[in-house]
Parts: sequence; C-alpha cells; structure tokens
Amino acid sequence: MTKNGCADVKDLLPELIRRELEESDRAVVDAHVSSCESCTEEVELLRRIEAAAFSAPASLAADIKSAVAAEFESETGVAPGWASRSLRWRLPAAASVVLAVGTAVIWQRTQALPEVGPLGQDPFAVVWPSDDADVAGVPMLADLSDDELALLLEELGG
Amino acid sequence: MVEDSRLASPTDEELVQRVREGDEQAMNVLVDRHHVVVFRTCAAILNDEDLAADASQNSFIKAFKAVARFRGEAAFRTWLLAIAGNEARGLLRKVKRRREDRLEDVGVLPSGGGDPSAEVTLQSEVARVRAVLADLPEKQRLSVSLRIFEGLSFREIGETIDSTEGSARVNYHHGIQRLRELLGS
Repeated sequence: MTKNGCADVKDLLPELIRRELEESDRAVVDAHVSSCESCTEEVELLRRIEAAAFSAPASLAADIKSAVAAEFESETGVAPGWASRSLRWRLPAAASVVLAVGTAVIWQRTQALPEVGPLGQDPFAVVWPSDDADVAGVPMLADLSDDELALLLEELGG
Repeated sequence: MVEDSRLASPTDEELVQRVREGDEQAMNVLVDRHHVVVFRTCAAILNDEDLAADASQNSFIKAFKAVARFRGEAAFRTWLLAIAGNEARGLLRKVKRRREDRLEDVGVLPSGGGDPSAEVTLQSEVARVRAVLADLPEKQRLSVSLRIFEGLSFREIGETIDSTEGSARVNYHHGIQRLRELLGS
C-alpha cells in the first residue's frame, strides 16, 4: 500500500476485519484506524454487517451434490461420470473396429482373385454368394479407390 | 513438490475441464469450493435462507449443464456467480408474483398491526442489519455483501454485477454510507 489516506484505508477495511491483510499493510491500516474516528466507526459497522451474514445450511453442499447427481441421472439415465467411464472403453473399441476393417480390406486387396469358377464369370459370385452387392458390401469396397478407402477409414474412425 | 501440490488442489479451470468430460468428483470439488459464496450471493438478493439454498442448488445444476459454453473469458467463480445472480432474481420474481396473488385472494390486509413475532425478530441486531441491507439497491447490496462476507475484489464484484471495477467500488462505498446513516454507526 503506497498511500494511507481514509479512502485507501477504507478500501482495505473488509480485509482487516477478515484478517486477510498482509503484515505490512495491516500495520499501516491499524495505525491509521487507531487515529481516525471515521475509520474506527466504519470498522465497527463492518463487524455488525459481517455478523448479519446468512450462514449456509450445514447440509447445503451435500444437498447440491445430490440434486446435481439426480438431475443428470434423470436426463441421461446414467449418473454423472458416465462419459468419462464410457470413453475409457469407447476409444479402444473404436480403434479396434478401425483396425479390423482396415486389415480386412488390405488383406482382400492383396489376395489374388479366387481360382474358382470358369473364366468370364463374376468371381465374387463365388466368394460372396449374395446377388445384392450393395448389401453385401465387400464388392463395393473393392471398387473404391485408395483415396475413397482412406476417407472411409477416417469416417469409421471418427 | 510443486507438481504434487497442483494435483492435490486442482485449479477451477482444470476441474471445469474434467466436468466437461463427465467427472462427477470434479463437480463435487467445485460445489465444496464455491457453495458458500453462491449461497451468500443468492441470500443478498433474496434475503431468505431457504430460498437462497434453493437458488444455490439450481445455480450449480444450470452451471454444470452449461459448462460446455463456459469459454474461460472470466474466472469460473465469476461466471458461476453471474448464473447465481440470475437464478436468485428469477426466483425473487416468482415469489413476489405468488405473494401478490395471495394478497389479491385475501383482499386488503389490515394496516398497522403487523406480525408480533416478526416485530420481536426485527428487534434483534442481526435482523435489523439484514432489513437495512435488504433495502439497499441491488448493486450496492451485492457489492457490500460480496466484499465483506466473501472478500471479493472490486474487479470480481464488478464482473459479477455486470459493472466496472470502479463502479463496484462506488456502489460499495455508497452502500456503506447508507448503512451508516440507517444503522446509526
């Protein structure tokens, strides 16, 4: 504190009555208050005001915690903390799915076409018996370019 | 050593990040840390312990629901106190409406009599100070309450009451001056 007039001291009186002033400031403020009637009266007033503070109910923190937990549970069906807990297995699970799909696609593209069936027939008709290629999926993957596959893997991973 | 201390007492910002990830324990630490100042802010507006407790509870629920929108431009406590102030004002409006409805139902109350038990209560020093404090304009009341009860700085009070630091200081000193006149100190 560089000044010690009434205005500066009065700014610090709340800290004085809360015993939160640093030692050096407290000495200056105490010295001023002891010689200033107006500041002495204000200290007394602040103490009266402080004594009139509403006290938080003893159970307030516990009540708030219960209400918060109940609110989140009623909204999501699970208690708070579900997100962090589920993330613990969701991320590895997502990574496993991406890895499995990627491995399968790479394996498929590196394999020679199956040596079954006469030439001229659709080889996938043998390895993938469904006629519905859109539903079966694998023939669609085979038609994708490398860039499209990379995009697909990225989307699956996201 | 510094690392251990930081882990033992995470900052509000670290706790908020954990709350965003759904960490219930982080919510509980924030409640333990700030429930009293939230309660006192609500009490300064509502002047009623039970209503202030209800408003405090709702304030934390709203804050945790909206925590994704907390951008960290102000301190978490300041942001929380702004929510608490809005919550308390909303509750005060509801209570006033209910009281007005009840008064309309029962007609004009007899004047001059008053509630004897309330008269007795008002004689106590604490009730007197609270009554005078409750009559101050809201910004003066909040500035005085948060400065004296919680030791908030004028800068933080300014952010809480949506004013500048200088305005918070002026509101505080005007409030103290008014209390001195009314309480005779």
